[in-house]
Amino acid sequence: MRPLTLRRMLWTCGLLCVTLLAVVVLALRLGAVPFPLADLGQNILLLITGHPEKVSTDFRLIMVDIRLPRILLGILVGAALSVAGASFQALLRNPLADPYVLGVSSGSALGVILALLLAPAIPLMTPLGAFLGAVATIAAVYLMGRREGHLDSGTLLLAGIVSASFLSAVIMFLMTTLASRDLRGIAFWLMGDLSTTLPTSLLWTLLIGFILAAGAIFTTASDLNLLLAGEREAMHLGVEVTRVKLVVYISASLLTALAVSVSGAIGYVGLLVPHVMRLLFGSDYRLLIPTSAIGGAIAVVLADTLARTIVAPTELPVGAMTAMVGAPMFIYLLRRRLA
Amino acid sequence: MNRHAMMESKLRRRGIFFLALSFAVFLASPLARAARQSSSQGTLPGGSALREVTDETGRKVSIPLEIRRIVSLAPNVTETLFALGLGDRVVGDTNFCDYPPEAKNRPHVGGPIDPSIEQIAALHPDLVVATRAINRLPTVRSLEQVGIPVYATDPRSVEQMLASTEGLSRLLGADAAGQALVSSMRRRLAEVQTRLAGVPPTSVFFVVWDSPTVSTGNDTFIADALKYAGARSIIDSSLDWPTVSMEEVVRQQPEYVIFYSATPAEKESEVAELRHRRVWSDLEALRQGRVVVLSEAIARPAPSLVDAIEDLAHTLRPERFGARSLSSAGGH
Amino acid sequence: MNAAESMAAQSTSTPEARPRSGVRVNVQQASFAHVTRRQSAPVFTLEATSFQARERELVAILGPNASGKSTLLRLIAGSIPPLSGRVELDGFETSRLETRTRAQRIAMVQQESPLVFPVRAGDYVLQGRHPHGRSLWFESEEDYAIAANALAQVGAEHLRDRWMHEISGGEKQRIVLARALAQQPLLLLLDEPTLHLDIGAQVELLARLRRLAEENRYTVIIVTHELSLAAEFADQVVLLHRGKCLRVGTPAEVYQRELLEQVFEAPLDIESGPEGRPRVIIQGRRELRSNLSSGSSSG
Repeated sequence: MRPLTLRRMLWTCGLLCVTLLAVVVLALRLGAVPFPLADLGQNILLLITGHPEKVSTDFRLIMVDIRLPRILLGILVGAALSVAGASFQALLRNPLADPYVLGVSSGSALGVILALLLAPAIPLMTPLGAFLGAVATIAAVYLMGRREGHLDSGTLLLAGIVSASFLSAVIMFLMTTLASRDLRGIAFWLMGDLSTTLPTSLLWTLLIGFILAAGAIFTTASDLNLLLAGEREAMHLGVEVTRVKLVVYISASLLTALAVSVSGAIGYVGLLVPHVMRLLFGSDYRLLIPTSAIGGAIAVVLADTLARTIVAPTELPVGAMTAMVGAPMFIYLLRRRLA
Repeated sequence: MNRHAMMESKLRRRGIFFLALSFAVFLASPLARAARQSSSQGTLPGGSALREVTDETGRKVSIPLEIRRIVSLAPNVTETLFALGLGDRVVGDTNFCDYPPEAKNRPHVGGPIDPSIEQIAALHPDLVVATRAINRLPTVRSLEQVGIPVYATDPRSVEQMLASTEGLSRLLGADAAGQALVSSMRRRLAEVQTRLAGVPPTSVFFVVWDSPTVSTGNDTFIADALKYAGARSIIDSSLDWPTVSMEEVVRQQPEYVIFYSATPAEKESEVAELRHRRVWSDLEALRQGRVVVLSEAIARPAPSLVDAIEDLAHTLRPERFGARSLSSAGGH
Repeated sequence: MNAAESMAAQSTSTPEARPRSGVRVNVQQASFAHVTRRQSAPVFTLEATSFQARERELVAILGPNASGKSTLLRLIAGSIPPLSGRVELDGFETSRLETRTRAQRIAMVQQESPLVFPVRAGDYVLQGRHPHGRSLWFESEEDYAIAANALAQVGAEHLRDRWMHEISGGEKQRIVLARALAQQPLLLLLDEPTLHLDIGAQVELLARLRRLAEENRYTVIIVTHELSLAAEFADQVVLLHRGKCLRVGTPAEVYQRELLEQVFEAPLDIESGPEGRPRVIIQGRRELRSNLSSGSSSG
């Protein structure tokens, strides 16, 4: 057993960051509009050295306005979903848990539908509606998931599954009875889609939200290790079980809400990235949380790049890509009896 | 473990976070500055001054006075632009734009639902024309976010299609062509109305899709076109494209069943196969061959819709139209 | 300085407040009841019980099923507060201690929950160091040494790199015990530790506990219904029956035939063995004596 030291953690995260950087460069390079690497390098250099006016308009338009924000969005969403997935797997003591198992994505979808119906003209109504729907679902599931005043994993899981089913049924009902022209985009959203360009202020909000929520979860990382070995045992080892569960529940749900409100329900990332990271680097949550974050970012940026380029110029929704790669990978992992 | 060492490692942990944060900030800030500059500009790559118009969905759009480069995001828009003689201004369209044939040669930007914003941007359009029925609002928003104006049409009836055509012609400075086209279309529609005067409408069942069975509702342009052609859809629904129950259709026993396809010949064999399907086989119209297969023109709210209306009217009431040959465009 | 010395330094110095010298665990008239919403009268799972335990002592809480043994153990562990009375460890009420502080002093060994993800035995034992660190901390060299030592004390160094789900029940028991030892507690509590073990493993475990109590100056309290084991290894026995504490004392004092037959409802015979420890003999072919069987009500 190799001891987990700060050095090992920094090396691992550093290695993953380098991989992420390589993937980002690849994503910038590829796309419906090709860009030679030399141009790319030259323009980035111009930008960083503070000469934005000298940058070619094409580069600015495509790279800066369209591709780079999309890549950054992919990084944030991937990191958020993976950390949330790893956290729920610990909270619910279930390796099959993913960020959506507690109904957050269904609640978000309903929020988006209601926003499209009631106020489609207001910009940013979709992310706002999605976020509000998610928050409402988080609160409802929390209230249902309590037993004797504190969160019980089994009850929480049941409450979440039931909520997800119920909300999906409501969504199905609305989609078939209402005028389809207003709800056309919902199918895309349900699959997970990064193609909508968002204002930078929203990206900043996402980043800050991610740091706060993921940071909160990270501080409970060693408690989570103990919780996984049993709640009673964890309590006897000094873990404040009720507090930890509440912090993790709220933070992980918030991460999911943030991701889903801007990109729809991208599947398989929150479920699989933590498992792959466990395979590679072990189950210690102090290492798993950061590696899942970076691993998730890599996964989503790769998937999105594929989605943008495989049948260019048509763009597939990124969720279709993650499903196509994720499902076989899931089966493979199952057969390795990891889950 | 002593307190000093614990604090030290806590600080190191914070250090990791700050490293990550500063990386993001480092990358984002000069780019954010550049982005702000480019998207808030009052002039577009075309360089000309702007005017504000209201599109057919009520949105206010700032577009350049001179529009030389247009990207179309829907087949009916593409067709309309070409019909107005503006085909050479169309610099890009979707994979699905195949009418007129020249449209297939234009650079494709993807599908109407999932176009590539990058690809559109790389074509440097002065204006993108979309339509509410097919394109998504997020696509429109993304384009606006990068400074490309989008004008949306929304023709929901035959009359609106005519008005939309005229509106587009005025927007794009092709007033003369537009007026000529629209007057010609109105003349032909009036002719059909005259010939059908006094004839009761034929009850029809219009098949948008056969499994599940989808037909047209009351408020679509197809329903309107059917009326112009002397037909009446037996489906009464406020939804645009309702899924219908075949038992109900059989109960009403429409006089004709109408299909449409890009390749009408292939559709004939599909229709033959439908004759044997359960419940469909109870349709008298199907059994007796009272079937019409129209071209895709019926499904596009664009000038060729008038051709489709004429075709349908001829087929349903041939006695009213004498020995006139069927119009060549979009024939069976 | 270790935890006991620091606590002693902090305790008040009035003679009444300081416990009798050497007494570590002081249970005074502690009772517990489940309060259910619909019934007005609470159901007592444990009525007022008192006993004391010193360091280097092994105490057995003895009784048949549903006699309140686990409740008493949980009261001592501080996981539940007593309804009446006090439960003190070195003068501090266990239920009032902060979770982390309590975990630094009290280690509990129970039937462990199933593991969700694979974990190595060595890492499992290392978890015992958690109460002594802070949330984002990484284990130090010292922590690793303590964990290795704990493994050595249970004779399981060779299991260090093995996966927990791959080792046998008895070996797992030892790892769980090692984790408790890694906590470096003052008090070691075990709830029915011999349940799934064969007789050889049972004796080995109790002998080990005795030795550990002696070497590491623990107070060990185990909950059991194994009469022979308690007789052989315990310094003190607390006999419980249907929530009542019937007797507290050395095995010789507690093991009276009529008392044990009444409590365990089985025909027994008690003999005296070496070092004054009683031997329990099961009289399987004899019916319980008639005046006893008519006197005892059905449970």
